[in-house]
Amino acid sequence: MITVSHLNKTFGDHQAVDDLSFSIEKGEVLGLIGQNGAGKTTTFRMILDFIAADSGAITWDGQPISEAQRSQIGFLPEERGLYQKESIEEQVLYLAALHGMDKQAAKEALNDWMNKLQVVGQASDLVQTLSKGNAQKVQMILALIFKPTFIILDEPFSGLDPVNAGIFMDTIKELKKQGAMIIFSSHNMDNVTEISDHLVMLKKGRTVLQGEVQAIRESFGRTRLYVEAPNYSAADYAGMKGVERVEQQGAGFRLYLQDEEAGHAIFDEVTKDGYIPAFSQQPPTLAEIFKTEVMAHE
Amino acid sequence: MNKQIPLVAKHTYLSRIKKKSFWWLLVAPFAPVLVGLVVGLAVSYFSSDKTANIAVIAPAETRQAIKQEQKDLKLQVNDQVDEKAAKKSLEKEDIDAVLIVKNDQGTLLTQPKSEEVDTSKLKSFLSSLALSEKAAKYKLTQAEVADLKSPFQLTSKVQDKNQSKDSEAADTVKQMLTMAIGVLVFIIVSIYASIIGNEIANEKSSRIMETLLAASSAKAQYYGKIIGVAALLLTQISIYVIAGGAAALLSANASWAKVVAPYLSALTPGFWFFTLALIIVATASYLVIAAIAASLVNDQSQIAQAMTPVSMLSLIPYVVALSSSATSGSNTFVKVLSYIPLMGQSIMPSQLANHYASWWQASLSLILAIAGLIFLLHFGLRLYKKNVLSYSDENITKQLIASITPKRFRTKK
Repeated sequence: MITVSHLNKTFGDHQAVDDLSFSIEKGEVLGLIGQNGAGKTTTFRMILDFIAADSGAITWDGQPISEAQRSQIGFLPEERGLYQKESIEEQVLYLAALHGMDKQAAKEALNDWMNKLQVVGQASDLVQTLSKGNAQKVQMILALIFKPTFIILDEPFSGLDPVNAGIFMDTIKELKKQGAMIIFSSHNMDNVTEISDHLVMLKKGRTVLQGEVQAIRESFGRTRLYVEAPNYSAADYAGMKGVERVEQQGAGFRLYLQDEEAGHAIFDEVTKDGYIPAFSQQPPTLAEIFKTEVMAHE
Repeated sequence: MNKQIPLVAKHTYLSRIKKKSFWWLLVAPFAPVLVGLVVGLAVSYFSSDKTANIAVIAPAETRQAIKQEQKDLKLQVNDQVDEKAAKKSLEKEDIDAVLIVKNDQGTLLTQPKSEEVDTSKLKSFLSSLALSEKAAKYKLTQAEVADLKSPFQLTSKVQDKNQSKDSEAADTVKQMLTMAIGVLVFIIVSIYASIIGNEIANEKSSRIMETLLAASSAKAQYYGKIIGVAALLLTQISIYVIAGGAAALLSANASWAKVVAPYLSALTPGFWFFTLALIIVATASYLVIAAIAASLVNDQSQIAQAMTPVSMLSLIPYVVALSSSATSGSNTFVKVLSYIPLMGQSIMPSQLANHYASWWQASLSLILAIAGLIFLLHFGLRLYKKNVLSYSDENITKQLIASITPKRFRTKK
């Protein structure tokens, strides 16, 4: 288990990370979210010992992370970087060797990973000839080829099209199944919601939300209602008690409620004549919560 | 973790040695020599192509003697014997020169478009001719003539407590060494500081450094790169030594080898050991300084700016080496500098070769250089760790100064 306790870091007068604590169990995915400059990358850099924390502790199974353990952390940095004039194979084998991996095993694993992540091209291709997406896949291979048990992914989906983002998501889910401890940052809340077990939301270094994704959403109440009912217009919904706002959404309407109790009366009203195609009352999405929290702490 | 240092060193070494630029680097120092050689040969070829057409107005024996040697003197002696007619031909630029010899005095007249006449060779020949004529006049024997011609021999020696050496050879060697070592270290430092600077700056600007540091430690990257680049330097030196050795073996009987041999024999194996050791330690020290400077770079465009202080530093011993050559190396200031790390490699060898310093003094200089290198390695590692992941818009020199101020010197272990 990875445990971060009361971590603090300042740069001059700027408090980059303020009393941050969380833990990650085996087979668990933690999403670290926040605006640019919230302290996500600084946290990763402290875990990797690139920079020293002012105070606090980072432990692996209760012990400070040793040099040997640190070289077993799979890391995808936010700023992607590869040796442009080297082939995929040359640099993957070099990095794998630095992580202590045998050359032959690394060659075989590279082949598997290129197939799994659907990298277009050959292992002998120079990196400078790769597209941005393929270069990002190679970067992901560098982070994962040596089968790390603790993985840090800084903005893994940035710059990827939905298909490739899906490939990355599937990969993360598979690693989770295999028991890896994964921490990642992302601005894409849909991805965070789909793959995170827990999340930590940072705002200017401070933790503003923390816990299981669904529990956090539920804590805001089921105040979002999607309904498809014949004979009801936007004006009809707007006039109902407890409805703050109405938006047309496809064949139905999305209603923003003052509190989740308002949903009961609306349900009774729209179903009084019997069957309706859709009635779904849910908590706010993570993206909505994120925006709310950002605005609330401005 | 120590296994990572050889891996980084191997990667640095192999990625560089595969590049064409490294092989150009091997040839580059010889390029000016080759160009000089080609130009020299061309000039020599074209200048020796034509001989000067000359009229010799002189006693018949003298004229005949010159005509017999005209090929060696690169002259074409024409048939003109009348002084006025010859001068007229010269005015019309029909001939290149007129030589008038009267009463042991000679006058050489030329015109602006004349082919060049080798006057020193001609003078030497005429002197020899005049001497032979005078010897015949005074009825001297051939042995007496040879004795008259032989120059005065002056041999100078330096009397040392322990030994005495042929000072003529040592003096020449000293002049050559102070120049050669100063130039050599300056060139090596300029080239290899730039290589290590490029290595680190390339990784920083391509943002691969974070990936590398996640896989290995800053220490492994730092030492690995220095060792990798030092191995490149040793490869270059080894290739030169092997090529030089082969050339020496093949040309053992060549005339130039016979000229050089007495000078080199004045230098003992001990001298070579100290000189090479000092150069290697000093170059390694400069590589460390280059690595520190490169860790401050944001992108490739700043490499030259970062390497300028390193080149300037390496220029100091070069200048001191030249000035110590002028002051015969006995200057107290120069003597003190010969013990200072980063400086001693250019000064101590000539001090040693000329008995201004003893073996134990050379040993002290080497020990101080090694101590300096060890300090620099440790100090450099701390700065490298601190700077290699930081990106600043500040001037490199300002950053370097800021890095070594105590307040900002707090880095993680």
